[in-house]
Amino acid sequence: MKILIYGFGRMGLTHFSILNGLNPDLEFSVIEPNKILRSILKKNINANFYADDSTLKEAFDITLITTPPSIHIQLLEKSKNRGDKKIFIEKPFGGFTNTNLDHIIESNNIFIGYVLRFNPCIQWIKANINPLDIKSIHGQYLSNTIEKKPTGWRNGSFSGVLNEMGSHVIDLILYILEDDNMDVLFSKKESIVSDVDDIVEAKLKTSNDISISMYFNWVKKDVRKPIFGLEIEMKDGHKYSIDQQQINKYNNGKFVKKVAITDLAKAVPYYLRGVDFTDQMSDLLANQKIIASANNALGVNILMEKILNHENNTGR
Amino acid sequence: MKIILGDNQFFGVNHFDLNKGEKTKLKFDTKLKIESFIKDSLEIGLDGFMINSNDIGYDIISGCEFDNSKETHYSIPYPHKYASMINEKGMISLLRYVIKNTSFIKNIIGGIKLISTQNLRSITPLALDLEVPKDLKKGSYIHLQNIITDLLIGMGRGDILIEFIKYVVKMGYKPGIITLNPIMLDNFLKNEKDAIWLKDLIVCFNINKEGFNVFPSLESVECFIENRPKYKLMGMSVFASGASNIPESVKYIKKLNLDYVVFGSSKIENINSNLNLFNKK
Repeated sequence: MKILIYGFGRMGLTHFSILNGLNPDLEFSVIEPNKILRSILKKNINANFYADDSTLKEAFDITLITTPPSIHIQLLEKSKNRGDKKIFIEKPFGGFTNTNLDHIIESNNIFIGYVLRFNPCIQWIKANINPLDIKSIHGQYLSNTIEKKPTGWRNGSFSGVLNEMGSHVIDLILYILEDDNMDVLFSKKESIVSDVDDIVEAKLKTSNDISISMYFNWVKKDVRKPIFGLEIEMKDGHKYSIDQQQINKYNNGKFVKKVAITDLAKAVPYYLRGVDFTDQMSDLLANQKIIASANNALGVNILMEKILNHENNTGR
Repeated sequence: MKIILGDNQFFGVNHFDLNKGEKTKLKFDTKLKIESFIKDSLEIGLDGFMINSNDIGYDIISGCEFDNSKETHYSIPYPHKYASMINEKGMISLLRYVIKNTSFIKNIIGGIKLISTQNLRSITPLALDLEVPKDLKKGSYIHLQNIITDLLIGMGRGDILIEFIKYVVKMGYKPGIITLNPIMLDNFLKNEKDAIWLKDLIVCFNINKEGFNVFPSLESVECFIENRPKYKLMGMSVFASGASNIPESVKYIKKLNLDYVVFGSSKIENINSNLNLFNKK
């Protein structure tokens, strides 16, 4: 199987290692425009390295686009024109300004890297609650990712906590609700370290009257590891509190039960950054049952665009 | 079986409960509190302690004295520091940082080798020079953290792991490799079956009766332990990050043919009771 990777930063390297760990017989080609990095990688990684894709005419079985979001669409078009069979693009798909796929006729083989869907706790929620019974959802993402002002694209409009972290939580909310039709009632953003949004909060309402609230902060100094969390309130008074490691269920404020990640233990053939990362690549290689589609990701982008451009956004 | 104190409680790591982890971290908010907890643990009978090369861990090794008869297990690097660097400034910044911050002599020798060969293997001596405090007593163990080990395994670069082991030995220390893919690592080590350093090497991996984060599967890792490779085996996450029944977990672990276990707790009384369970005939 022939695999092409555009961009060999942290995510390109992660996916390469996982795929190689899952199947050492895969044949990799990598496009890395940075001359120094390419030169070092050529000596260290078993793959064909190219400065650009001008000489690559034959279709690939899988293409991974792990570049900054500003060039996602351009590379997607090239991959489609080449006839690549499956195209995986890191989130957020083209950034919050990318809200349609007018120019791409066939989109059912485009997949987006919303990896948190693969977390066993999220899969438990997906299997055990009915989205029609949900009254409200609160989503949050906390980390201490940005300690100094970032350089390059990470300090521009394709970055920011909403694009880079909030998008994950928004995808989870839409994935659980199976609905992306909602209006923004309130939004606020703050720049603390970077020049773009470091803290974003928002309140939304779905067409079915489900209340959604969100809080994203990637400059929270006292957080060692990134934490995502969801609180789902059901119409019957039950509440689920979910993070990467557990689900706590309450009934009208009283604790009912806990489902721990250890109860949901599952084996993966190769582990790097989490079971979810390995499962995402396994799903991509197999039959794409869980992985986010291009349309799912466009739903996330539309909501991000609505949040950032909302008239009451006090930070704008 | 030797019992080693782990360090997750000091740095807010709890794979089972994030909030609990953060609360525990507050309990160890000074170097002195961590040092005192380690000393208490060694005094009640633990065979050694493990500590990561983050800022506090580096300071503890540099500035504190522990019972010389006990083992020090120092794990490198502190992954969060490098992940942040890559996030903020890109991949090349990591190489720049290592070259810029290593000692002048090491830099000349290692830096020239790195530039001329461009082989990441050449970075190993520079990284060790950067991460290992001068005061780390000779004969201590230096472990490579699983995020790096497992990335190198995925990249197919077992040779860099071997270079790490050899350079640690050359420095007068004993090598340790932490991995969540012990069987894949073993496949690389099979090519080194006659190496002298194998007898000192510790491979540290997850094992618990629940099979939580035991990869590729509990059965295959049990089989791997049973087949006893030439190196030493250290079990970690033996209580499934706090999710399991401790007496039953200890009973399970004691049946396995392990040389070491590493576990932590924020309470000395828990350390003591766990130790008693391990020592009970």
